[in-house]
Amino acid sequence: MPDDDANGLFGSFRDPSGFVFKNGGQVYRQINKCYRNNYDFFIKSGLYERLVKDGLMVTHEKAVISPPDPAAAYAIIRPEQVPFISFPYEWCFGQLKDAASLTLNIQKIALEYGMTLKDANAFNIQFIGCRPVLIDTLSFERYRPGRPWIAYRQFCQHFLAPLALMAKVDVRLGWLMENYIDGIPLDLTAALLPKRTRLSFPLLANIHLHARSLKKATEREPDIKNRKMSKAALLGLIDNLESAISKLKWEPAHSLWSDYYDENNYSKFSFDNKLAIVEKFLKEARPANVWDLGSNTGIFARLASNAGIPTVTFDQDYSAVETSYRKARHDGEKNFLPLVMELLNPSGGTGWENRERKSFVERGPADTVLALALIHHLAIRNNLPLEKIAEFFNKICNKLIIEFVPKEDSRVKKMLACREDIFGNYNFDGFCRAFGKYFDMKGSVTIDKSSRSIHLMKRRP
Amino acid sequence: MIRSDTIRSTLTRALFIACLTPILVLFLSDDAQAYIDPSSGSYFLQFLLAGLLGAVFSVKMFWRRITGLLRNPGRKGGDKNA
Repeated sequence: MPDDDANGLFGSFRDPSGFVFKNGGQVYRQINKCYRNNYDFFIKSGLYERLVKDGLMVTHEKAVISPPDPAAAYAIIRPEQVPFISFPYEWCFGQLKDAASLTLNIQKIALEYGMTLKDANAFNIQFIGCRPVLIDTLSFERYRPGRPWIAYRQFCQHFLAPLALMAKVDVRLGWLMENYIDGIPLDLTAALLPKRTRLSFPLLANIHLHARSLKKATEREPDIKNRKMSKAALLGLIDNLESAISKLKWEPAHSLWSDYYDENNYSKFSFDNKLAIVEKFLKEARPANVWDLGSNTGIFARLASNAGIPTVTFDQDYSAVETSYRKARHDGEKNFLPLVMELLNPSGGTGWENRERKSFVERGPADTVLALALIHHLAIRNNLPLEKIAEFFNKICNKLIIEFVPKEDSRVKKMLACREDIFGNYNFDGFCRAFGKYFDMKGSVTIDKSSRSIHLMKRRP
Repeated sequence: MIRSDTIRSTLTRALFIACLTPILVLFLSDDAQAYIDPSSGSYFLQFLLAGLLGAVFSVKMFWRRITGLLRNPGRKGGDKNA
């Protein structure tokens, strides 16, 4: 695949105000001349300073490097670097809700300074650790009295619609955001939501009536000339959206996975021994960053993040990720980002040419991957040959801390209880053969009072 | 051979365009940034709800100011947006 990052990251082409590009491994943003007035006002009005002071937006500094498009360039800035780019369809309910509240808060502050958000795109919000921030410096324009909020529909599609579906129908509907890059269509949202949601005024107005209004407008263009919207009405709209968002709630269930540590077949002794082994291997690996696959609530990943290593965790279970996120927010964890991901079908490249938003694999490789109590789920429950699993890890990491769970383990026995054992190669020798094709074994330790073992591997150059 | 009045006229026109362009850019630049389609249906709904939402918001802010004054009689002012 051609790497066009130097001329502009592929996902940054819709807004003519500027674009993001990479230079020497760093992300920069070109601000175009057509955005000059708005950018200057954004800085001079004090809005930028206020948003940075309140921790709502990434900082940036002017950069002295040659612009990729000199004819259009007004300035080049170097924004605060985001350790890992995540997408709204990978966020748990709490993350999307916090991102929505952040967007509305920024819009209210912008209006105080005579500006307004010209877009309300969920992809413009990123998480640095567990803290959501706006990353798009070009999202603001001068507020023109009388004009409605241009980004109202986008806000409803990117935030309110998925949150309402997650809270009122099924939390897994958050994945719809992967299919709809400009947010979930409001007519689809209205059709999927239960009828009782019409009794809530914020949902009635911003989803159901909004969907109808959009449909009517395609049949007959409404007369909106000479109409004005007062600032009080605009603030009322924002207030109403805030009310809609704050009323949407979802509580994590005690799912199989969120209770996994309480119900697994380790004794307390073995569990503590496993923690010590992982900690030892992490010290040996000295990772620049860590991904934990099948992380559950992130107990092992926190061994890395608490040591100051930027850590991203992935789990398919919304309850486990929500629990993990709430703990991270509560404790103000700066190096810990939990995400929802189905490893058997990870986020693909989406948008224009399948390149607007990068796939999970394209956002790697990670320095070190943790794969604890995972391999039996992939190999036995989901019929993935060990060779395919090793090939995948070879693509996504330089170092690997992996747990091997043999057939003698009670969990594997349970998996095989109701099905034929077609996994002749699933044994320690087969494991070593498959992974030995790509990795050098740097250390192996058997967990005390358990048949399981943990291995540190390094990818061959 | 090019006549001097033709040259003068061309220079005047170039000067006029050079002066006008920044003015046009200044006035048109705001519209140039509105890159997303707000949708007329979405605008229409906002106008439709404007009166109600504006009134509710004003009452809310007024009420907040009153309760704020009752709680802290010594403090003046209220919400900046009210």
